[in-house]
Amino acid sequence: MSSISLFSYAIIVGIMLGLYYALMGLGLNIVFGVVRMINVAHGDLIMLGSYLAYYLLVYFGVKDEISLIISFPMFFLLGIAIYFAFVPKLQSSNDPEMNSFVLFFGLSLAIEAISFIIFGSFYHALPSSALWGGSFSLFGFGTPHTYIALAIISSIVLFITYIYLNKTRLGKSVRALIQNRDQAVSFGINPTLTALIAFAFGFGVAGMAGTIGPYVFGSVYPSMGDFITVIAFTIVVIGALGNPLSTIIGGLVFGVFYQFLEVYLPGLSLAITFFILLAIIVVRPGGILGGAQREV
Amino acid sequence: MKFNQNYLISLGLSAFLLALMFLGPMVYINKAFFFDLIIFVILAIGLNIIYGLTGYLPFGYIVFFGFGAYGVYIGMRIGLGPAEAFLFDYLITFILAVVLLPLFRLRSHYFAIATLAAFEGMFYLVGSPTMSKYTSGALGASLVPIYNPSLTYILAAVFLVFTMFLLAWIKSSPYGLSLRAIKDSVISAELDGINVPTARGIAWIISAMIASVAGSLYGWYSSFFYPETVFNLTLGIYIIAFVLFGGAGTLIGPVIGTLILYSIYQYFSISYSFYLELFFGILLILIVLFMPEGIIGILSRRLKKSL
Repeated sequence: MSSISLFSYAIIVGIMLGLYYALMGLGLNIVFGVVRMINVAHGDLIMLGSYLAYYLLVYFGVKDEISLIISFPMFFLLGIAIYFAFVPKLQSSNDPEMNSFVLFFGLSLAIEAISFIIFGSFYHALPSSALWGGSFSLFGFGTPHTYIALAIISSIVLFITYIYLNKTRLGKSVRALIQNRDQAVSFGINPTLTALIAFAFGFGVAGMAGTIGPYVFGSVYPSMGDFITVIAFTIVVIGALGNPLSTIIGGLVFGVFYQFLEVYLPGLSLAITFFILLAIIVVRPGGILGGAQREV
Repeated sequence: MKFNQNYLISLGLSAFLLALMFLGPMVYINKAFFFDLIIFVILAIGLNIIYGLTGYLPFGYIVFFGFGAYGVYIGMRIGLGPAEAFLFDYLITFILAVVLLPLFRLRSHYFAIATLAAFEGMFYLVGSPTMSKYTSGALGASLVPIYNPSLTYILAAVFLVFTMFLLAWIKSSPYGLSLRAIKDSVISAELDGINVPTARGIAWIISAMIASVAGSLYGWYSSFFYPETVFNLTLGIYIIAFVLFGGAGTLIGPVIGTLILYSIYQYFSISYSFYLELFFGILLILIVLFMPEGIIGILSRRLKKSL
């Protein structure tokens, strides 16, 4: 167990989990991009996705890869419902940014409470056998195969998102809308439909991130949402706010960085993560790779 | 005219709350019930100073409350006497508030999430085993040696009246007027020669100190607490609901909001905390959608219509 192999191990595992972290932040960033609202309930969507995977496995023996595919349409529909229920009303209010924050926080509390009532406050873990099982040796450290599965699944979803945003007409409209709303509308893009689909896509991706989440967080429990939202936001601002694909870089940087903290400063890894988020928001509010987003 | 009105309202509210605080225990024996109510009213007023007057809503506001409680413990842990420990406590809160001042250059929703990050960071720092030499980490902090409930109760009452009048004074002063101008339009306020970051910063430090004092009194009164008791994000969100429900920016609103919602809070918190969370979650959604100005906003609009 030399220090060099520990170092290499941290980098490789950091990259594998980093791909997952990118997936975790992706939905939040897409939603922010199209409606300029921070979805504080993002972490709770991930929590619901995890419960979906857990119950599908326990009651129907459904493997995690299948739950992943089932979750997307379900969360997509949830996204459409949430959009129609809240977004138009918020956009016409006097302070959409702050009001949406409060509203989504309320939604987050409500989802968390309903999950407590329905699922109970126990911690549930998913057995590694539901996602590839077994383990291998990496620089002398036992590493579950599940990590490889996480990296591959996340890469596939990130690639599909790339195709959607860069190669399809619908996705190009989304990017146009994010860059300059007025101009996009003047070119004949339907802003409501485009934003609706991207918003729902963001929810769908969050649900997918949820189904494989327990392998990263260790277990699923109702109150995990707040903490995941803030971590996801950290990943998003390491990239650029409103630029979904920059989240891939954010996820990788966060993954490696966090893995190093876990290895070298385990007691303080979370505290340091949050202080770094704070520092990034203060110095570069639009994200490290993004433009400035300041007022005054 | 405006001058007198604000002080009169504060006087009335203070008299009412003091009566509740000192006569209430004769009817309902549980003194802690009234003590918590007063602490929540103080926190609501503190939050109202920063949100009601500047439009910036710090979601992690409760971090100062937690700091206020833990600062005293840390102070005593490093060998200070009780009085110095309290001074040390307020000093470190002041430093934390000053360190966070650059957040006011951000737009309001970045500000909200940044204060949330500050909260989470402090919570994990205080609870971390690495810091347990100073904080005792997850084992909890004990202030039993200086436990003095009757003194704490009176101090809380005094501090309540103080914050009540402080808010009235701010609202009546030229400083309060400049805050209102900034809230209406940042650009025109700047053109009028108002130093926007300084004006907001002062409100921020005042409200941080209020939460810190409330936290230190709470910690002292309960004499034993865990990191999650005082760094309690859910409690922080409830305080936000109290203020928004009553009507941010007004003197009466947060007090009314706290009085109404605190009763519901106490009723459910004992055995149905999940239902309580559900209630507050839905309440926040409904406030944003249907009553952004709170009860006071609705009442005053009704009143104006009928006149």
